[in-house]
Amino acid sequence: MSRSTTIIRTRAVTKHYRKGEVVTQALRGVTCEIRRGEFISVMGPSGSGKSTFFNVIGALSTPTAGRVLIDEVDVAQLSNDELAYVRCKKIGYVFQSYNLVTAMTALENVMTPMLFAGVIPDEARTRGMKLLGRVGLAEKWFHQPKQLSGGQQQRVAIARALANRPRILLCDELTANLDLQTGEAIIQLLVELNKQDGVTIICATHDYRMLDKSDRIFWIRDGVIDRIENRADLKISTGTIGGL
Amino acid sequence: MPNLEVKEQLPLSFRRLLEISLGSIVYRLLRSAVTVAIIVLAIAFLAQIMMDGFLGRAARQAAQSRADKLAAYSRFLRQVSSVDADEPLVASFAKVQPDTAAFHNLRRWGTGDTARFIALSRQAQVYREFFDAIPLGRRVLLVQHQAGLAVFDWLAQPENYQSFREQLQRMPALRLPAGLAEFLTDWPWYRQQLSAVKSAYARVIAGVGDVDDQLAKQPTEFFSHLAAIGFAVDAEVQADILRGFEHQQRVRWAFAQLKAPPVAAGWSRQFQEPFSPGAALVSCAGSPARRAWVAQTLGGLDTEKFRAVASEYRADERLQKTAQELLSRYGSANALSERVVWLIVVSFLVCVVGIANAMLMSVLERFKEIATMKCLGARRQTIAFLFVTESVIVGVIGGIVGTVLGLIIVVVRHALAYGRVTFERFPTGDLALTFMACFCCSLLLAGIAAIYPALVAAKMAPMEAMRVE
Repeated sequence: MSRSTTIIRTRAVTKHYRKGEVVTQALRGVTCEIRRGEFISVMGPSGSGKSTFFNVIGALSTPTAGRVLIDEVDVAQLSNDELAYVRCKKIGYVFQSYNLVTAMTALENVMTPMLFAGVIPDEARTRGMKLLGRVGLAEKWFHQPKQLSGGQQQRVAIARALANRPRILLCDELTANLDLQTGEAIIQLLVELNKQDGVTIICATHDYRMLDKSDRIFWIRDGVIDRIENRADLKISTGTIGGL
Repeated sequence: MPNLEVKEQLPLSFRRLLEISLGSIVYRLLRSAVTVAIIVLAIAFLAQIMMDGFLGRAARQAAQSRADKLAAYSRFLRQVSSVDADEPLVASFAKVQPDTAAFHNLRRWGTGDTARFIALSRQAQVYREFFDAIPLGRRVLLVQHQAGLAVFDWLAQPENYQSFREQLQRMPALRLPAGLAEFLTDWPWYRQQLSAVKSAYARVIAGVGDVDDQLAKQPTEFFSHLAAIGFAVDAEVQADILRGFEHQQRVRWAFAQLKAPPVAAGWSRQFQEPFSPGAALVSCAGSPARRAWVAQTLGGLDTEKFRAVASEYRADERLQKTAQELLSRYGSANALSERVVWLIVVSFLVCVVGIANAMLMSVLERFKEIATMKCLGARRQTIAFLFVTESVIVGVIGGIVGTVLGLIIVVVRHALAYGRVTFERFPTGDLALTFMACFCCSLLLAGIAAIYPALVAAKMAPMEAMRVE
């Protein structure tokens, strides 16, 4: 089966929020295409509709109008259970505040999406340990989130996002709560995933080091994509920290 | 080229659901403990109320039968010394069981068809109680000024019965026990049998002689003499009568000591309370000082015997009191009064609201976790099941602890209030059933209470996971 090179496609997507009488227009016609294996950064001031854009392309909410196609499948056509399948298998999510399940150990957190996907527990455990090893936390598998530092938690969250080998990784401000050095390491991890495994990475970020590694940058303002820039067109210089 | 690889997400295995729920309960131990405590309170309350009735009725029966045994002597004395009026006699015939001495006595006293006689006695008793319970004004309208068995004599006249029926139709609130018309046709036969029985019985009583004297000297011969003249007593009852008689003799002896002039006269001066032999004997049971004073005042007393009789007497008094208390509290047959049902309903509501509130707080507090789970591919049903399972686990723990607690409370309470009779006819089977019922209730409560929070959780949008505080 020949595969399209486009993994996410949006057509004139609008999204309204209604709170009582007040209707907020979060997105007013967003059209874009994201290709397989791209590293995209999404920039925009708060209130620009960046989060809504994220939710919509991540199949976390459906648009008011317009179409969102993930792997050429129209998200609006899917039932709740099919949406759950898409979120489980096709997309990995990494959140700004990590969002690990506090009652579970690191390994259990990583295993959860696999169990949701119907992977048998033994295999899920093996794969979970492998993923934790990949983010450098194999020896901390039994720790609960509160026993881990912010950077470690974020790495567990990335391992969890990768659990079902998704083709898309959605990251929301993932370096915002981390110190510089840890942030650098995490970005390095993403670049590795992008280059080696061909995972499409979409990051909402304000971090210039992230922009530096991106293929394209989407600038969102007032609910529309203001402009799209290629990395080559940007002038960013990032220093090195701690000899990295 | 569209990619049609999208399928429906699979459900999660029950075992895994259970693991996640348990983990989350353990992680939020304090919150879970509070929820468990709410269930424990409500279920303990329910168990307590339900078990109280069973225990009370069992204890009432035990106390009643012991009190009956105690009263065997005085009842016997009354029976062999005079013929009762018609009404008490009918009431006692209504209680006669087949194949007892009393049953065979009736046969000897004149009724060919003893079973029929007893059945009619029971009916007569029912109707008499019915008429006695009607307020006087209405009763006069119904049966004029007749009372007791005379009511049936009056009603046996067809014209009287006719007017009675007419009046009765104007009182729709009165529920006449069925079969009165048939009973009235049998009434003349019963009346005739009753007087035959009474006169035969009176002849027996005339031949009895001095009961106490006979019981003291040769009880066995006395009972066989009674049987010969037509008044047989069951062997078991004989033993009770003798025991009661001996006890009575001892009490009489103790009363005689207390009634001796120096004691009776000095008592109120010595102890600053009015003198009555019964109260004095009870107080002597618990007070060596009083016993010593009595012995000293009399100048010679069998102190050991006096002490034994006093404590025996006190135990009897207590048993009578307990039996009466139990009768007044647990006498009626209906298990749950309206007030108790109301209390149970309220306690259930409190429990449901309490659990629902705790679960809802838990859902709202964990909105991010729930949304994250959805991002990771959890289905709506999975999330809902997680919360219901969590609540049901809490319900199971709360139910068991609550029921056990309720059982302990109610048994201790009864043991303290009524003593030994609590355990004499311990209603194990009923309590086990109640235990199961309470346990199921707690499961049901927890399940019902979890429905709304689980729905809230299931409907939570996955994009909530993106929210940052």
